[in-house]
Amino acid sequence: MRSTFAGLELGKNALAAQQYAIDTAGHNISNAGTKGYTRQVSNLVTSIPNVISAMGHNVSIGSGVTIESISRIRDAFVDRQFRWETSKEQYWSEKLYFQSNIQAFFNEPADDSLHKDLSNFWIAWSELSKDPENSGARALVLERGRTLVDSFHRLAQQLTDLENDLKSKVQVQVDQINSYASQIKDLNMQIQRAEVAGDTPNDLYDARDKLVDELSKIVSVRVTETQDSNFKDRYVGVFKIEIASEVATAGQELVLVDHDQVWELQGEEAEDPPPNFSFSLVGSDTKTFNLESSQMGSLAAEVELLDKYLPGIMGELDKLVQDIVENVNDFYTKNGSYPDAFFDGLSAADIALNSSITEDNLRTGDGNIGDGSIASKIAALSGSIGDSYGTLIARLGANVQQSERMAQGEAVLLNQLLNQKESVSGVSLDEEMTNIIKFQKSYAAAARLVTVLDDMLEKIISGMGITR
Amino acid sequence: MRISNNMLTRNFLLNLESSLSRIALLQNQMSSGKSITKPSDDPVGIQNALRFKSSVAMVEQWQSNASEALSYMNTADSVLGKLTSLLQRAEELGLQGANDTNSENERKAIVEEIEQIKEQIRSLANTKVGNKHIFSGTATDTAPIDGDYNFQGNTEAVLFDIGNNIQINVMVNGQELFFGPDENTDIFKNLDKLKTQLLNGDAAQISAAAKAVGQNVARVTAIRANLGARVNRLEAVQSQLESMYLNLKKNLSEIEDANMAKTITEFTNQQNLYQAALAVGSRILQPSLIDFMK
Repeated sequence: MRSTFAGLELGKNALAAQQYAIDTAGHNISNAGTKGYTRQVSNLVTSIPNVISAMGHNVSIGSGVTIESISRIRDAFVDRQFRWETSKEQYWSEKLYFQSNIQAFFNEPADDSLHKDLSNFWIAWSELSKDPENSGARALVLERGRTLVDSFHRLAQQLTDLENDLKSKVQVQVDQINSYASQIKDLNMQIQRAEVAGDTPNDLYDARDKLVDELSKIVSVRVTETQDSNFKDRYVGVFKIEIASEVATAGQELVLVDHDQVWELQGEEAEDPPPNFSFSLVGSDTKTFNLESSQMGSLAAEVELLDKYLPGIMGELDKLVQDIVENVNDFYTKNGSYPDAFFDGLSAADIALNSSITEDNLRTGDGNIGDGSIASKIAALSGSIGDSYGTLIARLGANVQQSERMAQGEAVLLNQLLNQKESVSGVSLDEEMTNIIKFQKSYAAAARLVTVLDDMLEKIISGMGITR
Repeated sequence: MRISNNMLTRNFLLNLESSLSRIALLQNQMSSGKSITKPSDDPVGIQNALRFKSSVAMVEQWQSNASEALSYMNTADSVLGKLTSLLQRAEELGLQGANDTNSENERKAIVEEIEQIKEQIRSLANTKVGNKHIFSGTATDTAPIDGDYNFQGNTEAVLFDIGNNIQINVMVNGQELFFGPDENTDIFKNLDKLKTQLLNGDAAQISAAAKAVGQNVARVTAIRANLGARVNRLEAVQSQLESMYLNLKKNLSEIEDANMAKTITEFTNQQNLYQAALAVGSRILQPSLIDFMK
């Protein structure tokens, strides 16, 4: 026998379900611009039918609608691709950023550059060679020499500053990774509690995914999520993050977070030989590893710049200084027959003019006041020294160009993936508004149903019976 | 494909950005006039550009050295010219003095003039260009001939760089010019001899002394011819340097200068695209279903 008020219950459930659906659409609209938000869909299902016995057999009568779950619309495959490309994009753009900085230090081919200073230096010697008795020409050589030395010092200083910037940036990035890892661990715990209770905590999932997205900017990670085997009847995930490249390599697993466990990343810089960063993950066990550039992410770019790129450039620059100092000094001291050299120092950081040289005692030739043979030989060095500098500049340019192209390519790819991601998970206002209208109409209809049932009950209560 | 509102705005922004960065690049090229403003614009080009730039600077320096060298040599040449005419005058005077009709007083007057000539030659020998004595070799701060008519300079060549390992001597050897290998070629000694013979009054001896001065004229002329040959060589080098300079400048310009016609056309094109994108953006981004619901 059907309950008298069963219809009212059905109407009430319908009203509630439509309201939930409208709330979900409202949630979507509110978060249309929120970073990392995944659109949610309320899954309305028919509720369990009432079974009544009629004419000797059972009849299921629809009992209305109920909300089964609210789920996120997300594609895990696109996520994985997106994170890997993010790491690559960050690797190249980080490299590009620092390489362009270095390129800008050299300021070629502008007029105030090392190349110009060097060329001016040779010309001053040539000028002196034809006018060795002129104190102006002597002063010019010394002044141009000082300018050249200053330029080398400035470059060496800028490169050292950049190196220090990079080192502190590596530390900041390591701290950032650790902070993300512990936040992810905390979220894992919260999510598990919700999942055990049968819930799907969508916004917590979003928060966790967003953290992983951020993490993959710094270092490429691999995410694995498995079903907790203790629960058979509901989904409870175990979330694990490793530092790894896209291509799975056999060997040690560099686990950063394993569900409720977290490993602390530590970066250590070897003092000697020149900066070589090694990393270790310290937790229930300790693993030490080197960050290969195949691992991508901005951290890998920084480590590579520190370990290989910067020392290479500094070495080239020092070699140029050495070339200049040795050749000029050879001529200036006539292969060592005079004790006082023109330049002191053998690297870009410590090259200097011999402080005892003045306008008056600057040597120009064989000692006769009109002889400029030494000056002339030094001036002729312009033909042989400087080509290696051109090669260095060309290499800097080629490196920037490569990084630029790679970063641009990755940006295009990333945008394509973002579009795919958005296409699946993004909020379309038109769609949400349409849904709202749909659910609003259903709500109005359900309300109408309740009114009808009310009328019917009214009929029974006050219209039916004998006492009027 | 399902389209979300974020996609529309992000794609729009991305296209706008890439168009704007292209405009910035072209603007930079137009305002600097250079197609290479940093090494990454053209890594191969920059290496050549740097090489050409140092070559241009060096060639400019060689050109300046060469023209300075020419001014030294021209001065030396005009000194040699004056020297020739002074010596010719002395020879002429000597031959005139060898004539027996001359009285002793007249010969004294000739001696007087020869003495003047000798003094003039000494002051010619001490000619300076700037602060360099041009006949002292590399002892440029010393006057080549002192009060006793002795050579004070040295015979070193003063070399100017006028090319890659090409040098030219800009000076004339003062020792060679005024004194020669022995006593018989010494201009001052010969003039002195002429003076002495004139005072002695022996016509044959005077004539012989005057002929000796004539020998000096021939020597000076030979040295001047040699200098002239050097000037010719220098002028040839100068014209080589000039064409080298023009070639280098042309090559450098081809590498690093922006093609203005092309750049400006492309700029206008990009600007149109950018404006069109902006105009379209303002229309497509606005409406959604919300605008049509009451």
